[in-house]
Amino acid sequence: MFNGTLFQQSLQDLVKGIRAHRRDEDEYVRTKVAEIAEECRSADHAKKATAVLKLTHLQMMGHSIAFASFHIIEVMSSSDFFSKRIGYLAAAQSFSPTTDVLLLTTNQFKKDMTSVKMQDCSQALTCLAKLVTEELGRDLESDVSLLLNSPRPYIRKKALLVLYRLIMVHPDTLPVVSARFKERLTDKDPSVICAAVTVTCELARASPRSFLSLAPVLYQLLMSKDSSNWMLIKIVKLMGVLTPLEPRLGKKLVEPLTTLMRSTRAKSLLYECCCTVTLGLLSYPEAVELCAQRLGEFMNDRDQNLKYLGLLSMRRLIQEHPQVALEHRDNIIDCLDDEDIGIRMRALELVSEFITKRTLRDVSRILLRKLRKSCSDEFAVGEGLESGNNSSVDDLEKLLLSSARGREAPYRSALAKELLKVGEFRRSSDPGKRGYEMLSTGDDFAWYVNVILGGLAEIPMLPPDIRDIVGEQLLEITSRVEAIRPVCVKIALALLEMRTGSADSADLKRALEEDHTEHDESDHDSNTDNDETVSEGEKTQSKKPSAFSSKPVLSANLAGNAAWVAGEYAELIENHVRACRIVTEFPKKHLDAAAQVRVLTASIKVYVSCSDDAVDDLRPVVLNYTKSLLSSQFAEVQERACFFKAILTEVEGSERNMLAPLFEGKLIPVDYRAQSKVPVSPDLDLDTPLLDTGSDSLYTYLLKTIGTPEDEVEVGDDDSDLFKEFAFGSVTLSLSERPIGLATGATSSAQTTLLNNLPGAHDKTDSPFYLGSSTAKEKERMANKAVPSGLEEETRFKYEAGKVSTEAAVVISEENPLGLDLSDEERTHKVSAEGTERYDAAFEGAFDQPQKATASKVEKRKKRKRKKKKEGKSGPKSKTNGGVAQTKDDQPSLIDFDSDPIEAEGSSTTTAPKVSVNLTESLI
Amino acid sequence: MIKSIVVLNNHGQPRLTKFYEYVPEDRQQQVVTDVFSMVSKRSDALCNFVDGASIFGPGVRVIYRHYATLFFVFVVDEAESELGILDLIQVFVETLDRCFENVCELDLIFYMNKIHYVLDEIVVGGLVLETNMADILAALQEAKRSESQASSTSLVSPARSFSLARSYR
Repeated sequence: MFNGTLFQQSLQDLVKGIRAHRRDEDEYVRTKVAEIAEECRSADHAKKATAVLKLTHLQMMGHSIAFASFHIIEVMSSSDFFSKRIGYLAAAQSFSPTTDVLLLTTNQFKKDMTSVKMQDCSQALTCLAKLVTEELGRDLESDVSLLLNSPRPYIRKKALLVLYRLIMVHPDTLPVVSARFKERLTDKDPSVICAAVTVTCELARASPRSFLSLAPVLYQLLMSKDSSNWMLIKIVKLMGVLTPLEPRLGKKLVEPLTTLMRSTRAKSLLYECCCTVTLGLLSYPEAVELCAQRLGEFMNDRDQNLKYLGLLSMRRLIQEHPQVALEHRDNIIDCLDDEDIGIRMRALELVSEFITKRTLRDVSRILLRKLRKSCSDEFAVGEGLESGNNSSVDDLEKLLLSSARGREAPYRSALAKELLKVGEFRRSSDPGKRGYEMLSTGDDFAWYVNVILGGLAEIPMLPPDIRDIVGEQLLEITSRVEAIRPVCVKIALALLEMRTGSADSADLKRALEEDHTEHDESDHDSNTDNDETVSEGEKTQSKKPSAFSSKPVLSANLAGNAAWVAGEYAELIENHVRACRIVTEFPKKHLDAAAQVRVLTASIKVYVSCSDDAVDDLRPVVLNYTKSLLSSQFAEVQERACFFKAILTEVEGSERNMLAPLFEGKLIPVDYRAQSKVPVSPDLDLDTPLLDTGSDSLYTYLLKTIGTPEDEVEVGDDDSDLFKEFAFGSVTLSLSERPIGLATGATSSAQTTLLNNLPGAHDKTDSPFYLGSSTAKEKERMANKAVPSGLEEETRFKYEAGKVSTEAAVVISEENPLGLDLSDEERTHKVSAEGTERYDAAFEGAFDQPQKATASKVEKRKKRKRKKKKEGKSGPKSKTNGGVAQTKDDQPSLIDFDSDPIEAEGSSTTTAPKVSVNLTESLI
Repeated sequence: MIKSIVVLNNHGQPRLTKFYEYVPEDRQQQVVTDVFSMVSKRSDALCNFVDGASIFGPGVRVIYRHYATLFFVFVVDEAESELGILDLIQVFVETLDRCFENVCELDLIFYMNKIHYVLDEIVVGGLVLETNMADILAALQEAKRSESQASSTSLVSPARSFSLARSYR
């Protein structure tokens, strides 16, 4: 029967042919398509139908059959039902809303839907359900709605479903048909009612309110004895959507739903009842209790499907009724061991619901254990670790990185994020809601840093983004929570040490543990011991799985942050020699430029703050390390290394205290939004150009005033490439064209007034908004010491600007003493600071690397400065506070909340340039 | 509603594809590949639901059953009951089994159109038309009678033993 004609290939032949031509399938299909196209043009209906059927198969295999659209319509209109059916199938499968012949189908649909033959009508409806477009919908709306009253139940129910699609593409249909549609809910035939309920369900999801009026009818159906389970499911689901809108409905539903939940043997219906309770009946204890019980059974079920769904619905229940979570706690935690990652993810969502201050440590311990287990499981599957031990470190790292993307990776990520949520600093305008929700005592923080941050950093198979969060939190907690700093410094060193090349992993492990133990001892009096023993337990356990015998890969960010913490709070380090060794031996290849700079700076800080007897040991270590970076591939690292090498050579070990002011002062977290709280002075003029270039472009202007730079070729104004080079090589970018330059130049009157207008800013020593450079003390130092004040400022500025709240700032403000490629802030600072010239002069000769155009640059800078001075005579002499900050209220508070700049009184000289930059950035 | 129904074999070759909302043809093939990578790696011990947000957008779930060499995959939105759909897949497969006497992959390969006809009696335009197997078979029988040329084989054969998956009805 499939052979339309004797010699035509049937669908079966085509399928066999394709299977026989596996190697040149494309070629074969191409010849066949040509053949079929020929057959389509045949006058024989049966032949045509077979051709179209074959095309339908090819369409499924991914070949376009758009060329045959017209032939498909021909086959659709065949009088032979067999052919017609094939035609309708092909149309439904292959037509798109943009198929141009679609309009030709309207009449065919009309004809078939009004046909006396029920089957023609049925086929047309099925096909229309798929193809209906707005245009078709408008034309066929009346025909379909007439069919709602067809004497045949089969057609009635099909018409109902088609109607739904029609309403979706052509919403105006709904008011027209609503009466007829409503009648169908009370149809004689149960399957028609079922279809009507299905459609109601779908429509009500879009606009529940307009279907509230149908609630009584649906309620009747729910109570009816002979409703099928499928229909009951749909009604119960619909009720879940309607009850939140109509409280009275909920009250009425409690009784029938609980009855159903007790009596039904169909798990699907039972589950939907539970769902509806979690959606709309949460205020009825009877229903909630029964629901919790049933969902508990689901979670316990051996059937994975029921387990999954039980967890899914439990979440909604728990959000309203947390006590339910506690009842099922063990149950939920068991699900974290499930084989199915989907089930584990759902269970994890539930776990997060019952983390409270009280359960925090217990739950975290469990989560951490699961995380380790997941790692070691996948590691064991991925590759035997025996081979891992033999292979090189690099291979191992690759393996670890690949498993960081492994099958379980999303689960591990979710687990780790759950753990890290505890240490998130909540930013909120309401002071009551700001801060660390779960952590309050020093003990809490010590536990968090030790067990969670330390624990997570140790786990080798976490993706880099998790490591970055660990690094950010370590830095943030260290700076916000003063009491915890000694612990943080230890952890930071321990983290760095884990990666230090020399010691083998077992040693590293021990090192970390030592650090933990040391901490235990030091904090013994204040700590409750059981938590620490817990952490010890974790440690010993973590040693077992093979995945942990490798060194974890620290992300550059984490390493950079750890180094920064160790350096900034170097006075808290117990053994400076060891610390310095750890920092300097950290493998450079894992660090990007920014992180390398931070590690280098950290090593200098450690050196500066070490005790006298350690100096002789440290000096060569630091000096060698600095020298090793002179040939770094990163320009900024190189440049920084030059800078430090110059200082180190100049300053003898015994005089290292001279360097201390470089890193003096305390950092206070200032919220990144704090700038918005500073009122803008009405006097602030941001429109007048600082540099009046007249009608010239800046470049021409500079050429005129400064003269042609030796290395540059004379060029026209519009040569942007050369301009760029020029700007890079020598001069600060346009002051007149960029708002940033404006604000920097506005050192003068505008800034002063701004500062004076600040509430509480009258006591200038307390204001964080000081521009300029020197307090009396610093001036003195400037005068007496060999260290140029410019250096002090620059360096201090860098760390002040790198306020902890915005980590990026730390990186950005790692400035560039050479003046090459300066970031805007630094330029700002350079222009406004007074000591720059001295700084330039003092360091000009200090750099080993020959730098092109340095001389001319300095020259130009000097010229520019003179100009500037002339312009801004009215500008304030820079003033500073003591450089040492105080915390709020002068009391040692545990947490430095991020705060208004106004509140965060203590600050030092150099916050001001940053603030002014922020101000202008918001204008850009 | 049901967004799509895909039947795949263990090697990821499509045996039946049905999209109830318009999906461009090249995207259809991509969906088949995505669905396959989603379900093929799951062992039979795992649950039959996968989050399908990555393929069809938020709220969409992929519900499948694995029979011997074939995956029957339904992609549905939130309006459908998960367990209900699992039962529906079972009804679909049992109906096929009745129509083809011990249905196997080859039947789906060679009689693609018939599979479509069976499915069209169960789902229309993404909504469920009928869940009762007797009614489905009766409708198929009637359509069969209308096909002008008499069929050489009876469409409906006596019920065969069929490995019954767990029912939630």
